[in-house]
Amino acid sequence: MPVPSLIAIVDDDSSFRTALESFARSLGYRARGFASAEDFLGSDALCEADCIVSDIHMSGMSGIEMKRVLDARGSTTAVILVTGHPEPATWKQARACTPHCFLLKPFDPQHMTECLARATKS
Amino acid sequence: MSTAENPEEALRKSEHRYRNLFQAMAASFWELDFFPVGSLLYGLKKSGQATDFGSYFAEHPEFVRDLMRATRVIDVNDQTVALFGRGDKQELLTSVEPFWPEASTPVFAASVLAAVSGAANYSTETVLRRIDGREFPALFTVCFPMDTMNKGTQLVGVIDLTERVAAQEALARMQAEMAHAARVSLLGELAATIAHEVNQPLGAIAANAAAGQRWLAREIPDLDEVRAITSRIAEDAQRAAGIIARVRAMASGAAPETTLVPVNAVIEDAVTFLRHEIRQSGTRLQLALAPDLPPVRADRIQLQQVLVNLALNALQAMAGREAPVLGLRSALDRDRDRDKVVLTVEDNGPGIAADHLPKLFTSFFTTRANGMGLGLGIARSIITQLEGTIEACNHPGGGARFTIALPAHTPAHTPVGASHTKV
Repeated sequence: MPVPSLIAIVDDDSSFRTALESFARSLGYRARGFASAEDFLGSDALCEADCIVSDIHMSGMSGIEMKRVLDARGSTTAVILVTGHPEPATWKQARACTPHCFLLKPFDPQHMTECLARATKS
Repeated sequence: MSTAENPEEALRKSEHRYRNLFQAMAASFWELDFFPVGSLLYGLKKSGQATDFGSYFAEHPEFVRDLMRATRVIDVNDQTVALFGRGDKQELLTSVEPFWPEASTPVFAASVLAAVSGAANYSTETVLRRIDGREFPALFTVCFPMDTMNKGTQLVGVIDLTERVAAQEALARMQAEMAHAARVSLLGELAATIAHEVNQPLGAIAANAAAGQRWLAREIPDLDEVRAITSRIAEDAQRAAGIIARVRAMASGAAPETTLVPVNAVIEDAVTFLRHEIRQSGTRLQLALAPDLPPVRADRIQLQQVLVNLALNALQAMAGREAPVLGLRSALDRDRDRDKVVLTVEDNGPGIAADHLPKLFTSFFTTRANGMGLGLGIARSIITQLEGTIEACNHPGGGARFTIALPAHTPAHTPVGASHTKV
C-alpha cells in the first residue's frame, strides 16, 4: 500500500490550520501544519510535501512571497493559496505568482478536494 | 466760592455719580447692610462657642442661614430686578436669605470669612436663587472697601452664568457626539479588519464541518475526530461572537462608563481590531506587556479606541517602508506621588515633523488626505479626563512614539513586599 501524499498546511490562524489538517486527513492524506512560512521553509517537510496549502496574509512572510522563494529554489511542489480577503490587488498578486489553485476562505469543500487531488497526482 | 471746595456738595455729587453707576451697570448690583452680621459674630466670639469661625460655620449651617437673614438688602439696580425679581423692586429689599439655595450656604460662609479676615474682595462661581425659586449658575463678587465697611455696607455684583454653563454643556455634548462619530468612522476604517476577523473563525467552522462530514461518511465513521471537530466548531463560534460583541460595544453611542480596566486586556482587544492591518502591511508586531499591572480607571472602549487610533496612525506612517515594526508596550512607572501605568505605541516610520509636534493634539489637525483628524484631539481629551497624560516624540531609533500615562489604581497603603493578591 503506497504512503499517502503529505499536505503541508501553512497558516498563522491555528484553528483554521487544525481544521484544514483534519479535512486533509479525512480525505486520506497525511497532513502537517506550520504557523508561518518561515517555519515551513526551515523544516524538512519542504522536500517531503507533495502539496502546500498556504494562507496569503500572515505576519511575517506572506504566502505569495513564500511561493516566490520556492520558485527561486526550483521547487515544483504544487502550491494552493487561500485567502480570507479577496481584494482585487490580492487577486492580481496571487495570479501573478501562478499557484496551482487559488481559493477563498471559507473554501468550497468540493473545490478544495479537486485541487488537492490534482496537486498530488502531478 | 467754588462748589469743589464745598465738602457737602462734593459728597452729594460723588453720591450721585455712584448711584448712576450703580444703576447703569450691566451686571446685577446689590447694596447690603452687613452691620447686624458683625454683631452676631461678635456675640458668637464673646460667648466662647467658636474659636474658629470656619469650622463653626461648617458645623452649624443654620447659624450661616441666620447670618443671611441678618444681612439686609438696602438697594438693588434694575439688572437685579430683571435677573432675580418679578418686576417689583420692593419685594427684593428683604434679607439675602431667599436668594441663597441650601447647597450654596458654604459659599456665603466663605464670603463672611473673607470679610472678617480683611480681604479686599471675594469672588466665586456658585448657584443663586430667583425670588420665584428658580436657581441659576452665577458669578458672585463681593467687595469690602474700607470706607463702606465702616458703615457696615457691602457691594455685591452678580453675573448670570446660565448661558455660559449652557454653552459648556452644549460643548460637552458636541464633544461626546464627535467622539461617537470618530468611533464610528474608526469602525469604517476597520471594516476590512472586522470582516476578516469574523471570516477567520467562519472559515475554520466551514472547514471543520466539511471534515466532519467526511469522517462520518467513512465506512467506519471516526467519531473521535468528529467529537474533536465539534468542540473546535463551538470554540470558533464563540470567537466570532466575541468579535461581534467588541464591534457592537465600540459602535454603541452609550455614554462612557468608567470602571477599573486591566490595561493589558485592552491592548489585546486593540490588537484584535488591528490584526488585519498588521498582517496586510506585513508589519512585525512587538508586544511587551508587563505582568501584574494594577488596573486604571477608564472607559474600556474609549481607551481601546485611543490605542487603535494611535496604532492605525503608526501603521499608516510606516506604509510602503521596509520592515515595518509596531511596538505596543505596557509598564508600571513607580512615581514618588502616585504609580502610573504607562502605555507606549511606537513605530519605525519617518517620525513626526518638528513643526507638526506642537499642534499634533489639536482637533482637526491631520496630515492624512482621508483622515478626519479627530483622532489625536479626542485621544487627548479622553486621556486628560482620566487625569492622565499623552505625549508624542520621535525616539532615537527613528519613528514616532506616543506615551500614555494613567494613574494606577492600587489599593491604598499596600505595604511593599506584601503578599500579592489578585484584584
